[in-house]
Amino acid sequence: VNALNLITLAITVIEGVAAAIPGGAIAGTIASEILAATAAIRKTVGTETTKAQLEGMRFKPSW
Amino acid sequence: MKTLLLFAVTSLCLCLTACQPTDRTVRDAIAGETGFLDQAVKDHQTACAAVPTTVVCGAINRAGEARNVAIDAIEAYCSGIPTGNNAAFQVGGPCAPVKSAQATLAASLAGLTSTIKDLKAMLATEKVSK
Repeated sequence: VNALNLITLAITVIEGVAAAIPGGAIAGTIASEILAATAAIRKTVGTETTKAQLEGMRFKPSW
Repeated sequence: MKTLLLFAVTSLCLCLTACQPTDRTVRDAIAGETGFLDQAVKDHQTACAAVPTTVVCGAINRAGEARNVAIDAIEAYCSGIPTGNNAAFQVGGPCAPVKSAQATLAASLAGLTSTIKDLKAMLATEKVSK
């Protein structure tokens, strides 16, 4: 088991717990934010850092 | 439960810190904050489009600006002299670390973490009051 596998496992556990949170406005919204964060980490973890990848994460105000 | 999950995400970030080169650690931290922030933008799009001067909209904008500062810092950190036959970072090559830029990178990440922490607290309060 290497470090990357451990990180992926940790992400999976966090996602599992977030998905298992019972319904309700507060818990549901928190869970969606946690899932959004872990999904974003999944896309980058273990890959090389590239300029295109970073530029894709830039904040562009939409209001 | 909320506290437990936030603790878990923070622990994951610490694990990432221990296991990878600096650029990847910061990049993954930015990615995680990007996911959180994008969800917050999505949730507040309608309200902020109507009234962009609210405290929450301002906090989202500040977090976004901090994210861009962190991205600028990591790009500066990675723009060193390429090794071997690698292309320069600016034209698609791998990160070539500039060690002297590491302190600026760490400061920008701390700034991002701080603004996101403020935003999380604000959003949690907002949800409780709804």
